[in-house]
Amino acid sequence: MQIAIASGKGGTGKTTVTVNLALALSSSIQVTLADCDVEEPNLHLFFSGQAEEEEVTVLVPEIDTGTCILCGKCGQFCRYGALIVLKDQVLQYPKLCHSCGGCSMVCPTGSISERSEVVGVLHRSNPEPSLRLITGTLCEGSIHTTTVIRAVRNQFNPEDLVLLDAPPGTACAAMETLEGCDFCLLVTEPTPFGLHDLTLIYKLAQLYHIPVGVVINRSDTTDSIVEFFCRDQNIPILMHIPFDRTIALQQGSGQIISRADPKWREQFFKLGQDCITLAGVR
Amino acid sequence: MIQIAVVSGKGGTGKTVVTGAIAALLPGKIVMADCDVDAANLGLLMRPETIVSEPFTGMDRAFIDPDRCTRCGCCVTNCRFHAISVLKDRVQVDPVKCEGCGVCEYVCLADAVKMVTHIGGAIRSAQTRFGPFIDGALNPGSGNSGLMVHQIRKKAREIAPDIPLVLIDGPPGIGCPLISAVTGCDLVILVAEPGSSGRHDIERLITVCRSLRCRMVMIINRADLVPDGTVLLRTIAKESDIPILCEIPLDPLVMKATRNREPFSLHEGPASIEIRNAVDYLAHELQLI
Amino acid sequence: MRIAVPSSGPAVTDPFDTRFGRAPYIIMVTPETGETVSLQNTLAAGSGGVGPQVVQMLVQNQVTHLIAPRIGGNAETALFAAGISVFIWEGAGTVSDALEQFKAGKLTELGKNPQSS
Repeated sequence: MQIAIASGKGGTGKTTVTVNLALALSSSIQVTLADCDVEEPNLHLFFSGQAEEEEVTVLVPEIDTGTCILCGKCGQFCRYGALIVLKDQVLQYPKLCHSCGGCSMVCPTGSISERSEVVGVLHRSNPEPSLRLITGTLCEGSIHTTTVIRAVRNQFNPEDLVLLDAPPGTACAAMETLEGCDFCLLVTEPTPFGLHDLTLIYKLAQLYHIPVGVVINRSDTTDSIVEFFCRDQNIPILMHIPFDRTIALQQGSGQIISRADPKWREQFFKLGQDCITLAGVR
Repeated sequence: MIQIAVVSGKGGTGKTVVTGAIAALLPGKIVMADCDVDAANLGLLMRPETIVSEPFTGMDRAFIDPDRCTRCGCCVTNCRFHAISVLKDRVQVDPVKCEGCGVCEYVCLADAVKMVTHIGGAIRSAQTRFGPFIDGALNPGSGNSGLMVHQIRKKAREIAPDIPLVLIDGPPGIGCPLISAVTGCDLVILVAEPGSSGRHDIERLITVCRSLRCRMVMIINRADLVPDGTVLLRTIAKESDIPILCEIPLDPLVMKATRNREPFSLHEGPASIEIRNAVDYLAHELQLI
Repeated sequence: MRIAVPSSGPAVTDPFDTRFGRAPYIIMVTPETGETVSLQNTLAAGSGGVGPQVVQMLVQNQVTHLIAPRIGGNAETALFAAGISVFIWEGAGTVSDALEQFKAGKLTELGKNPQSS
């Protein structure tokens, strides 16, 4: 079962919810925690332990300068500007390459082969007895965000309970993470911004027919702005987290509130159970 | 024309709220460009009026002519993006997964594939009480946000050539949209928040901005929330030779103003004193006054 | 010598465009013959790697010199490899103004002066 934790915008407390949920559930179930926010992965900051590393690669062209006749066909074909044919050489920009393989197909002399280029790194660790953490990290300046997310997803076993920390926004990266999930927990805050972004991410989840539930973070007396929307759309609100300096301070220094506080642990465990139940309804 | 981008790496550091506060202090001198195209929010603060919307065309997408297609599956096996699938009666392209590379068009023996223009969203221009405003809305899952950022910036430069400053509300992350938003900017304002997550992100962001040769300054938001974190941010700024423009304290006024969809700098409080000083300094530096 | 200038329109009286790869037109001038060719930049709306692709277009059109306000890193390496000299003009005006500045020897060549990069 795969449960994504998402928020249209960043900074709503998605990471707080994710780490607490993972820790609480892992007290009784084997949990895989996947950091799919590969542009800015953060979950590993909350856990310790040795991680195993694996590179994520894509194929990029390699040109045999001995047989290349500088005909220019590869440069014309490439829509990404990753290959430029000049009078005396072929210039390559591996960072711009989308790895479609088209250049090697169009080359009339068979001078283009493909080599691996590193675009990201996977880290695998077991920070808690029944918690496995998989983090994807995109190389700075690379465009292969979805490739690295896919590499994270390839680490799952079908029988695992997986919690996926989704990247912010509703573009390719969020879609790559949400696709195929059984449930999506939407973390929001009771502000016009929060509601606006909640609406966007909810639409995306609907596109994939994924059932959703909402957590209102920094909850206070103005929650109604989000509550009205949820009632209207028939979305269950599964938890309210009040604004609390202590929570912010603990989170800010890399601690997990439900590790020290059994009350929070219990609440997050219940949240996890609710998610699993709602996912099963499908 | 001067271009300033406000960016944060991680979302939720208050980037949009800070952008709005700066914009409200420079009425008539700025064009606002909301380049956070996945979740455009600046409009909620700026309240744009008389919105003109134009279609946004992204990268071409593959289109398969069902009358010509023989369902041989050649395009399916050659597509590296797993964007094409053979159904019982036709071959289907997933417009989200298709990256427009053109391999399918090349390999098709029946000449059934064409690369066609794809409408991926809209670019909107409007007026606000502070100045012209541009933002974009991508259709969910359309991708190509980097290109949209580029087009929003272009529109912002064109809409009012006599206004001296374009203020960009940047996208989160360090990927393609962020690179499009800061490339060629005269100044990048990093909005950082103390806390371990914030630190990690800001370091990655600095690396990317530096590689694009951007001049940077930092604003520390909610500076008194995690005091140790603020000390650390100051150290990072110093090590990277980035001046700190101001430190905004946690101020209930900011939340209150934001809830009422108002830039907080128009109201009185500790946070607005900080941002006003910062904007005065900036305006002076950039010779806007 | 063939000089390329990014332009907002097809004529030399149109404004000099402030972005190299994304300019709607590239105007090419051969001072020896006075020939002026205006090339529509079909690559301007591309999603990425536009700079290098425009350089390839310049190479195909035998351009030897380029006047531009700012050059991205990818385009810079391509221009260097193609042997096209780049002259920086950050001012505002028409394509003709840019050419006048160049002919008057007022522009700095990219890479020749360490302060210019």
